[in-house]
Amino acid sequence: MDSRLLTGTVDTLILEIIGSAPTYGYEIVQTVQERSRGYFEITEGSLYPALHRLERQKLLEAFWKEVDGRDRKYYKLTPAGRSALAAKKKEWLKFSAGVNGILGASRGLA
Amino acid sequence: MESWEPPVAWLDDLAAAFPRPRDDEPPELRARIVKELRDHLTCAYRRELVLCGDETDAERRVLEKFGDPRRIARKLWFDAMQEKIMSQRWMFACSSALSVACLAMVGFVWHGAQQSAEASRAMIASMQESNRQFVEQGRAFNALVLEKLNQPEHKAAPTALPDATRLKFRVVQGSAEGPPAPGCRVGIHSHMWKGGSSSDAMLYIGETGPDGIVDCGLMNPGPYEYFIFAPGGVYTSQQLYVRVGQPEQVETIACPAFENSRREIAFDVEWPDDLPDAQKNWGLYCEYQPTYVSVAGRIWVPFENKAAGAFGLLTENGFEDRSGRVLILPDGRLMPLPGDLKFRGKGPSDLSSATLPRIERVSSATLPLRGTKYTLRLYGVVPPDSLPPDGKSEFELKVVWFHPGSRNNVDSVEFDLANQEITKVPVKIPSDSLSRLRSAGLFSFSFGILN
Repeated sequence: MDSRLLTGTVDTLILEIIGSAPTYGYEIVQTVQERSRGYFEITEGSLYPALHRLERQKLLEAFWKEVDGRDRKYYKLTPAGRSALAAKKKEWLKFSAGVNGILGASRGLA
Repeated sequence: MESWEPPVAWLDDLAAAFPRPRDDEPPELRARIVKELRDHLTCAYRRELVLCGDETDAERRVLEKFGDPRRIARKLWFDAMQEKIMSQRWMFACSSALSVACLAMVGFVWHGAQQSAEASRAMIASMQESNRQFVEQGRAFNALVLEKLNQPEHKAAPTALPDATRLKFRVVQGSAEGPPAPGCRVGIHSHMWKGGSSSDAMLYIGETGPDGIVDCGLMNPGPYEYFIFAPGGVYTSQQLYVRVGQPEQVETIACPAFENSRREIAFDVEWPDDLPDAQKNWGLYCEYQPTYVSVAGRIWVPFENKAAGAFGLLTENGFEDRSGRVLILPDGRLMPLPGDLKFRGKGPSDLSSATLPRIERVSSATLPLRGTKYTLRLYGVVPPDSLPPDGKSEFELKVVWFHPGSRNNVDSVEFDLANQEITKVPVKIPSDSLSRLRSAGLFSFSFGILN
């Protein structure tokens, strides 16, 4: 996959996964891989800066929980994050419909 | 098994990945970043170990996928601190630009002074006045800095991080190609100077060795301010930025040449030709003080004599008092006067000689001086009947001021010890000074000289 296609959608994917249930960084990476059947792969180098940025933007809220004797940082959506996710999904659907329309039209002309 | 963690050393390196601690960062920021990444790496390691069954292979696969954990930890810290760091850098940039503008202005004034003889006299007088005011205003500043430099030599960067830079100063005399400058006191301050308080601490205080080099030790990247006191009795201070990603940073600083700068200077008073012979037997009361020196574009400022005298460190290290008062006797001999003279009146002698403190008279043909540029300020004359009589150990001086009521607008003579040919400085008395003196009707001050 061309990684540039993923640029701009990482925030949406993260918000969507966290929107299902509070989760943590490693699980987010695994979930993205599983749900996309290995097509998407978010690297840790982009995941954690994005998580921390969304947290600073108050779209995510973090809390700590002890698991296996270690502290684990969980993230959950805030009301603002839920609104942002809805807006991003709506925007994506419009965008993908537009792209599909153009690609479909091209195929029809061919 | 519940508290199991991967046996890999790089997990412990995470804590050392961050830049030096800042006062304004949240207290648990670093710990939280480390804990989060540690948890992620542990999860990934356990998964890979299950998949491949070999610890070394699992470690390699985790690192291949994750990348350098320290780099990510550092990025998370910078992202969190970005706003504060950028704000501080912006302030530093503004301050640097202001410093450059001030230096450019000084250079412009200096250049203008060179171009016109008339203009130079006025400008030099103005600069002298500025110098005097600067020195006076800087008295408290000097005292504070000198007090800090008086502390024992120490290296105070105990929290240096792996990416810290070894900072060295190489101080040379005259120019970058000049001989080394041993004995310069160097102080490093962690923050830009803001007027100072007693709680501000120098990070490092040391002295250049025979090679002119002082090793300040490891310094974490960031802005600092440094002070250098040269044995010639001048100091400079400036900001510097310790850069990231280099093992060593050497700052080469050229100070005024002070080797062989100790000179014995005589003065040759040139009275106006139309002056009656009797008046040519006057004494001349003067004050001398070092002036600003510019070396390789850097301004070195003489530090205030009382501060120098008040701190034993300076005299012990050759930072002797370089300003003072002197009476030039009619035969050219010089009588140094103590710096703590008390002026005793505002008009014709208002104190009887019996009430004046006394001092033994000492005179010599030359005045021992050290450094570079000096200004000799000509304040007034001493009539023959007030000159110290030979053979007596006690006397009283009366000075008739050229400019009654003003200690600022006075005639002056400049000389530079760097000019090795100068052994006798001509002191020409301006005619207009004496005309003012006559019109003033020998308006006089009287003072005694304290022991």
